[in-house]
Amino acid sequence: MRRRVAGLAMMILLLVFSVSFGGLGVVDTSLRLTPPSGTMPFGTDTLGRSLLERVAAGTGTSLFIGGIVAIASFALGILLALCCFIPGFPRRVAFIFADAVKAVPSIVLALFSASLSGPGILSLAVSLSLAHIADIFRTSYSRASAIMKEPYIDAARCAGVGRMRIFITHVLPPLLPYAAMQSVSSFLSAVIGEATLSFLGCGVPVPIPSLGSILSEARSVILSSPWMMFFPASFLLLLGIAINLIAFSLSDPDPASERT
Amino acid sequence: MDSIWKRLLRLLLTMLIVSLAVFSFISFSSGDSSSSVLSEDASEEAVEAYRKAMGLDEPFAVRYLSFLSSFFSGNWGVASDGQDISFLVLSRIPATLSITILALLMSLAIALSLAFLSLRRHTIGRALTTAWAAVMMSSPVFLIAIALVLLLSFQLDLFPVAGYVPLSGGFVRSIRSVFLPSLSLALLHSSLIMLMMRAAVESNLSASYSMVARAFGKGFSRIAAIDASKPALPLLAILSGQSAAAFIGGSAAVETLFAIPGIGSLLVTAALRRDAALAGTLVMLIALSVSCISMAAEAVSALLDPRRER
Amino acid sequence: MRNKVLTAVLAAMVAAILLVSCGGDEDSGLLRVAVAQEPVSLDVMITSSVSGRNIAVGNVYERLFEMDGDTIRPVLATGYELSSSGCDLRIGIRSGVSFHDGTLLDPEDAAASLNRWLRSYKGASSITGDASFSVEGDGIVISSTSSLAMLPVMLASSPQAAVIYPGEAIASAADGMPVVDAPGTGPYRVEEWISGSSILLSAFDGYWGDKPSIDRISYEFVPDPVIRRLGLESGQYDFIDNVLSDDIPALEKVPGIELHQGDENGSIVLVFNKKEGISTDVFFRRAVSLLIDREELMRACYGSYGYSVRSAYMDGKDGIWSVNPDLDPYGMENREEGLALLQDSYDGTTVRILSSNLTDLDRIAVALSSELEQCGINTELIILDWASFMEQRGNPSSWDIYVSATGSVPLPLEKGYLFSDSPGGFDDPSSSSIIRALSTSESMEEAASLWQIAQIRLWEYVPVIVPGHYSTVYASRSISGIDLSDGFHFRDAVML
Repeated sequence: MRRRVAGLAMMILLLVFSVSFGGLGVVDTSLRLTPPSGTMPFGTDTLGRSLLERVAAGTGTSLFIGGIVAIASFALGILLALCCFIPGFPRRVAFIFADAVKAVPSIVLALFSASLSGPGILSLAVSLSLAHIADIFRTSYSRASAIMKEPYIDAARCAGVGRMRIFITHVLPPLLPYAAMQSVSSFLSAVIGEATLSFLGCGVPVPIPSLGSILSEARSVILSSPWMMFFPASFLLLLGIAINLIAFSLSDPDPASERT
Repeated sequence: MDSIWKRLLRLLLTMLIVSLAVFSFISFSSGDSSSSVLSEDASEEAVEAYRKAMGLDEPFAVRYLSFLSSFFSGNWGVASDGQDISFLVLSRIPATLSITILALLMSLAIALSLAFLSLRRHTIGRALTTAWAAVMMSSPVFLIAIALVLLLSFQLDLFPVAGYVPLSGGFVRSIRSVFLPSLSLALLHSSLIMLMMRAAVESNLSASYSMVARAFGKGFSRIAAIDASKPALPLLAILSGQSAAAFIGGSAAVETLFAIPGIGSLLVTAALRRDAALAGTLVMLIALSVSCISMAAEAVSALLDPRRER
Repeated sequence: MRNKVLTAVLAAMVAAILLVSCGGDEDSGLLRVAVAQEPVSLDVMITSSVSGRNIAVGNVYERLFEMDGDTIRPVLATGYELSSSGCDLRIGIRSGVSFHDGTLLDPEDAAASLNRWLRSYKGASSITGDASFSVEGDGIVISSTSSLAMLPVMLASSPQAAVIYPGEAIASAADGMPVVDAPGTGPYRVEEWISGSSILLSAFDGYWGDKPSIDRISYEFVPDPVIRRLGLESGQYDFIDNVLSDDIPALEKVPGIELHQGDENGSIVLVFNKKEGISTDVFFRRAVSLLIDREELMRACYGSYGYSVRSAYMDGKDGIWSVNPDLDPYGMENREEGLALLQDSYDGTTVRILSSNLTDLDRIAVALSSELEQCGINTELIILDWASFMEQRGNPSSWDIYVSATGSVPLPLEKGYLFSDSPGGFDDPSSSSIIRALSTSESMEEAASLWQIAQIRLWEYVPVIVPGHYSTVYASRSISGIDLSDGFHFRDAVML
């Protein structure tokens, strides 16, 4: 519990940081790549923009992308899993689609969604969430179907309890912690995935910063201007620690209470 | 468990859907391969001739179906730059295989040794390994890779900075050329494997049968090493399968950085060049190998744990 | 238990030592070059990638002529003759030249190659029109209704290189597709092309000219500039291309490493959309030209080295095409004048700036957007990957200015943006007629003076803005005799 609070506190601090200091930064190439100083606490980037502003804004972007992916994968993953119990729902088809979606490389999805709606953070987040929705869908379904086989479910049905109530009171509660943990790890994986997409040239649209795109820009000047990589990497690490604290707290229930 | 035929059918369907998805995503993304192959100032005539030669002016259904038929007939056609797709793809497989196998071995070695070394709660060692895992999971792979290059290649001169040497160029030289890329991937994945294996072994340790073993006088480390880990082996098999699957198609970043000609970077190139046939071929192969690996992992997992329901 | 652990550790150490000590066998006579990009194809006749040209032209494939400073030197040709009217060109073809597959070069190969080149290269066909080459005796001829005096220069230096392949290779290639694995006549042959990894060239024994001193060259594709630099410093590579300006100060201090700067090989160009939208108004274009700080734009991409700020369109500060930049009325930043012009011509619409994210051009777009915003112009940045960029560029209703780079070209009429069928359009009859006259000039001197007039006129019409020109910086270990006139070539180089 303590860990969860610490993790959430860190995330809120990061959010506050990003809102207070975040900005696109003013371009002034005569100041490009200056080391940290009084006026520029984090130094400047390759275009002379304040790295403090960019890293703060980038933290916000990463929080946003991670948040969308986490919420979408959690909500839609569980929803799809529960839908599989509605008679007439094409369950097998859904499985095959889920497997297929996971096999589509993220760069293909990112390029396609950028073509559809123009490059944008939201379309990027949507394309990143598909694979995670599929993941949570599959694991939630397997847990849910294990639960549905329990005798008390039959008992409830015989007693005339409606399907919806069964889902809400019996099936949903045990699903939530595990799905929550998975969606928390997909938060981080989406932020890092966006960093890799930026590395390959298909990440968040310029000039909006994300921690990943700043890192990617910083790659070529790491030897001459290491601060440009140090600050975004540190904040990415802080974000990762916050996420891991929350994830650990969710996944560490007393093993003895786990029903196998 | 489903019968083998049902699984094969599902595999085939998955491959078809993936290839359809990728082929259509790339075909309907803006732009086509003419912009990458031809000069920026190429004449309209040249662009049209190229499009015609590549069949880009034909309707989508025709292109997809002819792609499918050439894939399954083994004659994989020609990529956007005129090279033979089968030659391109097959030439990239050895590098990807080397990296996948080496990265998997490294992941297991690192993860398992760290997991066992840090079993004791509330020690500095445990805190350090947990912190290390958190750092690894929060770093994009290219960051880890650059750190490794600076340290091991540049400062200490132990490995080449980039480039791939195939096995034909000497076993040791070949391993050295893929060492750093594999290590980058391994450091990343081993963190997750370590955390999950440690949690599994710990939950087994506190289970009642372990207490019985302790009552019989076996020392702490022997129990941990032998008894508590056996039930966790199925989990290890699954995790190994997942990591291997990730290495096969998802190592584009390390391949680009270290200039290794693997499947991952070829896929990225195909996507950026809008080469639907090449990308479609690659994803089908990747989906096929990932499914095979998953099936193998599940089989090994079942073998290792007779308690598992079939 | 402890013994087991100990043996394991010892075994690991022994393995590590073995791993590290083996290998590192340097191959003498092999030059290792790290290049940033793998060429899409070595068919340099239809692709204009610099990477392909550096590797193939002059090494694997040869042109009929080459530029030697300002003079045209025959390579596979023996010379050329222009008729007195200038409308007929005859080129003698050298005999005794073998292709890498052993077959001999004959005029049929030359004619087939050049005709393919003409079909796919707009710059050349704008000189020749519908004419094509045919064989006559031991040479080839081409006749046109207008002067072909500009053609030899183009044959010697066009970015889509007029190299010679065997006629059979051209006939067997599908129309429109790149030719794969065509044998060439050059001093090196392609020994191996490992896709995604490297291209290995080895000296061709049957070469008609002087054998090069370096036996084998390996061009390795290393996209990451940091890795290239580390590879050079650690001795893994002998030569690297595209040194980042931020690395130059550090590399200068390393003993044994030499930096080289090539000739100007291109310019940054901001192309206005003269077909639709706000950029169709010449006053708006002039306003933008007066409002931007060109140094800022170039610095955004190139840092402190490797470029010169100059608004002339042609590369080469003191070359035959150079025009005094003081004659550009809108070539220097002049805020007041610019803002005054802007007041009349700008109505507040969003100016859409389009760029691709290739080779840091997007940084220039960001800097441009920032400059314009500071002057009160609303901008929208559209940065796309290359394929999407090319598609969007072809749709005039979706952009107002695009940022790109054009490579160095032998003749001004090869600058694509000067033609009405270019993505930005072009509609200035007076400069068009001068440029057309240029293509049918009867001598280089006449062409150069025509260009002086055209450039001044173009500076008034402002179809594009050229902030500056760039020249690639390279770094190497001890190699002498590198030819840096058109990219980099090692034919006359010697490893020390």
